Amino acid sequence: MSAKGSTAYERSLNNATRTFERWFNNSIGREKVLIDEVEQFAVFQDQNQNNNKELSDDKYMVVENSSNVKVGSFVKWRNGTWMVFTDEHKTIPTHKQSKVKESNGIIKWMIGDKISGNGNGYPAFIQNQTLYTLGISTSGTHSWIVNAKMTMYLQDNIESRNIQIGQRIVIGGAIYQVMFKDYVSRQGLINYLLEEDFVNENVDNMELGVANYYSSISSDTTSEPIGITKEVIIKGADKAKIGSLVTYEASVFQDGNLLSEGVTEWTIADTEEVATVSEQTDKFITIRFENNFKKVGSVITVIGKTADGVIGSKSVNIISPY
Amino acid sequence: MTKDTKRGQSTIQKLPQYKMDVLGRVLESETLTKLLHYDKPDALFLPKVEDTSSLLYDRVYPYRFVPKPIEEMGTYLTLGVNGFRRHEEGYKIYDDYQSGEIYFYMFTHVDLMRTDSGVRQDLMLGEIDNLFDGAKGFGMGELKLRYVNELWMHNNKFGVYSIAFTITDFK
Repeated sequence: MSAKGSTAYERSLNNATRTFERWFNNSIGREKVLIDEVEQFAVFQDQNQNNNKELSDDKYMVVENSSNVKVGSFVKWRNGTWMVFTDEHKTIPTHKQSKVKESNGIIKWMIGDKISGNGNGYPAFIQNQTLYTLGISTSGTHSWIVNAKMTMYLQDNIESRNIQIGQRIVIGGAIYQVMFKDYVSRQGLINYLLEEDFVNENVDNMELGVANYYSSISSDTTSEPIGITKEVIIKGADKAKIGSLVTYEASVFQDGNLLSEGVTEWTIADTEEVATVSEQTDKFITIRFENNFKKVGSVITVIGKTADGVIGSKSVNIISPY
Repeated sequence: MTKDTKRGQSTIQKLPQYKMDVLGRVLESETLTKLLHYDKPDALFLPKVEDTSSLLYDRVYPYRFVPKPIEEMGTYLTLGVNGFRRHEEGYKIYDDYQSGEIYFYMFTHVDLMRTDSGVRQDLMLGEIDNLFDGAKGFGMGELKLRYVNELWMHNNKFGVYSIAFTITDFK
């Protein structure tokens, strides 16, 4: 009696649940999938592909009530990653039903000096929003510039929330800039509106698909000793602003090992007379650069020499403060 | 007596000659070619651009409009002409001379403006002023500075200056 339910409501609900389970377990659209890495069964149903200008093959996905599915979940089904876009509140709560779209791109961006998603980026759903325009602005009087628009959905998580307005990302071999973001309209996903920006080969790694890659990876150009003989390495900034005070440190290495000895003689090769020594010891020298814009562009060389005549040097570009 | 055919060329007819001479001086400038060619902040510290003629129709154009859709950040210098007229001084209009403005349009992407040597466009503007204000060899007498104006375009992603010099020559 209690298995069927003690009230008419319970009996009706249990009956509906059993009906669902019978259908679910025998449906030929039932397949094993991973939803947010949890293995489970789901039934997929086709829906009208005329939606969205035939640009996406959307499906309904039916799962049991125990499923962890939510808007923004990633579903690994067959060979693709699908993103959950809707999560229907069923009036008769016998199961869960969602609408899923197949992800059509992996988006990577820099977080500090690391790539998002532990180096793998995140699956995204991206659609062209250029509509009937050309994707190129022809309105200027001096040039045509690229000007396409895209919309992109990403799962709402800590990393995707921290994508800033103005941040640049790579989509399909071009750079797009975030102009608008919305994590309210579809809770669980973030919608970004993007405008095409320009590739800068000096900072963007197009091969890897990461914008502002090189500016995020710190480049320490100070070389470490590799030789087997005695060497002097001068460490410090490659570029010094006029008006600044900069310290250069000398380290003496023998066979790759750091010695306690310092340099006995410092020399500054400075044809433009931009540098003044402020302080010096056998380990470091502090140099003040004249605050005069005419000196921008000059190059000095800091040279350190040990007691036994081993020399190390470093060239420093004198640059503008702005 | 009216003449059937003119001897010599007027200022307007000499435009191709002026443009060639102007671009020749632009491409000879180490500063300008470095600022146009190198997108990096240390542009002026980098080695001299050897093949400066490769900048022509890539970063330097002998007319105002860059016809190639721009996909990459870059710096451009284009030429234009404006206001060619009979030469005037005060209330006097001279029938034997013509004057007009040669315009330089410079623009660069906002992300490239900052360089180690100062703001890229200021350095370019300074060099163009250095090369052309008071320069001889273009028409009669010297080129004279006429205007410097700001030039911003396309969502303000590219911008900078235009600078005009007056050229005067025989009609």
